[in-house]
Amino acid sequence: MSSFKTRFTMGILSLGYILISILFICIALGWFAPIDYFDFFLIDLNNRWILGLVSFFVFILTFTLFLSCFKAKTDKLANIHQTALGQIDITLSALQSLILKAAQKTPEVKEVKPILKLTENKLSVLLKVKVNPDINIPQITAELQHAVKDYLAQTAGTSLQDTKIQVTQINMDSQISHIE
Amino acid sequence: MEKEVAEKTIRTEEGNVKISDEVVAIIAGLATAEVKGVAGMSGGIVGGIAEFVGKKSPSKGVKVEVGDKEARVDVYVIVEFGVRIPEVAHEIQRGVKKAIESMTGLSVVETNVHIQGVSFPNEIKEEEQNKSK
Repeated sequence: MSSFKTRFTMGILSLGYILISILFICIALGWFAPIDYFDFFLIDLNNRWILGLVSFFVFILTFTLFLSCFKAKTDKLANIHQTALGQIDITLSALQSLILKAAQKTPEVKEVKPILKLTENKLSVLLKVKVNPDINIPQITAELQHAVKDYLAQTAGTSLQDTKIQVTQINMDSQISHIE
Repeated sequence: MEKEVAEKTIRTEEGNVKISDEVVAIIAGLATAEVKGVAGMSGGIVGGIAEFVGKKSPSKGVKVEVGDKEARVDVYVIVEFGVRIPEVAHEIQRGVKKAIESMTGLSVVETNVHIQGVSFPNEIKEEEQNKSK
């Protein structure tokens, strides 16, 4: 299930649980009308069928969600080595973690969002960055490109075909605190 | 290689010895865990549930295909931060091959290593989270 679908389903289910818990609190406090209504509702065979089908649907949904809690993340794999003993792959999310680590070597870069792309086993990355003000952006971004490229080659043994950098924001936090 | 074969049978004068896929997977899992730089195994749904109920599964993160004389292994690992990944992966391949071949007599034709993640020490993790905000 995609993360949006999962969040949507969990939102709906949570809302259902809130309503059910409110209902039970009310029953505990002595409001028995819902129980009487439920008894009356169950007399009709059609209503029982509807209840059964809805419960079955909720069961399938919640069971799928339950299983998804244990499911390992399915992530795209980049082949980094092929040895005589077999293949060595790495997930893109693991590479992203390494890129974030490499970016820490450039203190002028405040935030980094790496977007990796794998096409025909060639890896390229787009780094969306937020940098500190009063810096030479071309110089710092070039430093970042080298840092990321070298770090990946050193630790993962993989080479990036392309390292694009997009400066999306300038960090104004330090400036604002200075003005204040 | 036959996927359906769930155990390998060794015929001796005294009788048959059967080695199940699960045993081969456990051997591979233990051999992988012994390699320096491996932070953990990345298991699927069964491994996740086993861990949830408090049962440690040594075959977590290992997939094996065992034939009559050969075995193919896939290991899904999380490596420690700072290690050279190809070296650790190569060490895993060697360790798994050696362990399975010496203990079962099967010939390991392929050991594929899938790096599923990098484990950072807590301090580094916090710094990284700040940077990726």
